[in-house]
Amino acid sequence: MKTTDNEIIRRVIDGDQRAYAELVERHKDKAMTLAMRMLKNKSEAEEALQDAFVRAYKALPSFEKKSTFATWFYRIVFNVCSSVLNKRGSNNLLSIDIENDGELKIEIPSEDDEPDIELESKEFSEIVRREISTMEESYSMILTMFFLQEMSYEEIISVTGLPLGTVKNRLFRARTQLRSAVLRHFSEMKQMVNV
Amino acid sequence: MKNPTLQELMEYLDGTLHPMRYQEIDVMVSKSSHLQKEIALLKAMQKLVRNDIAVSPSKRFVSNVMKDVVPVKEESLWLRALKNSSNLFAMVLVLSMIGIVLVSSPASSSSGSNVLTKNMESYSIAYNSAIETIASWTKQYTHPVNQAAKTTSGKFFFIGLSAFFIFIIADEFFSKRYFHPRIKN
Repeated sequence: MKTTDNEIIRRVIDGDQRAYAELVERHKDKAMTLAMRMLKNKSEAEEALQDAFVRAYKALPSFEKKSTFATWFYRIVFNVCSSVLNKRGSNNLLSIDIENDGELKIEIPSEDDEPDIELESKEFSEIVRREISTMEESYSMILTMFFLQEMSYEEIISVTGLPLGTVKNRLFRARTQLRSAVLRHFSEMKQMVNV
Repeated sequence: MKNPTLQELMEYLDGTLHPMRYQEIDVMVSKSSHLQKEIALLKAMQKLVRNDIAVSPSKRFVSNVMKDVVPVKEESLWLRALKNSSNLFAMVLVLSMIGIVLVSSPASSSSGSNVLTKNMESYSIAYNSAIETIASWTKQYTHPVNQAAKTTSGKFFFIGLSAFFIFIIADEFFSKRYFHPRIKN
């Protein structure tokens, strides 16, 4: 049976420092993706993540288990990355969207405009990947938390401190942006074929 | 029933929609191939974000973190040697091999003594006698090895063996693994 995060934390606090490596191994990939989405630079993201793991280790005795270790740790990653962005002078992660409480009504296009999209194709994956890598940090961060980290709205709010409306709004915009990029690409392809 | 907006379709997928509206959209989706395609597209994007688009840090990341977290204590040479008594054995073996080769060289046979003591006349008598005693013991107890070492191929063999043991010792003493703990991933 897989050891839980809390059991590992107990071992670390009891003096088994090496057990922390297991916790790092378990969370490094998802946390790295979050750092990468926020900083858009691999070496900076890795450095920030290393810093976050060291901070988490030092703060481990104060971890109260009110949330999961992952949520608590992502908050540290978020704070470290925010500091990096502040130093760069490009931190817009915490700006609250003006239309945060309004529902964004985007109608679904009619069937006539619908391009043929091969969802399993490499082309499709490439467009999505490219779009995420160039997406504004504040959007891609929420997208990563929601889908990759499988965090709930409440957990995202707890990590970022953003209001619910802003979180929902950014998630919607991020998905719409991805969808638009895919539709645009395949529409162009359709037009090229028709010409 | 009013047609769903894109946001409603996303919330339908996430399961965060109000139950009444969820039921309505569920019925509409089951009847419309257009909405089904839209749902398929959103699902495919989610799947990509969830499964494929993950970034991993470098291979040495965990050990780098652990180096920062757990300070490594460097052990003294003698402590390491004691912990690895096989090293001491190898060292003695190397010195013995070199001794045998030197002692059994043809130049030493005419003198009746050995080459080592020949060049050490200026040293104290006690030192010379100690060397002579060791040499004579070596000759006495390693006669077959001694004979083999007199041949050219034998000398190469022992020198090669010595080099091998020297390599092992160097590796044991100076290898980085003593300074950086291994971390089981």
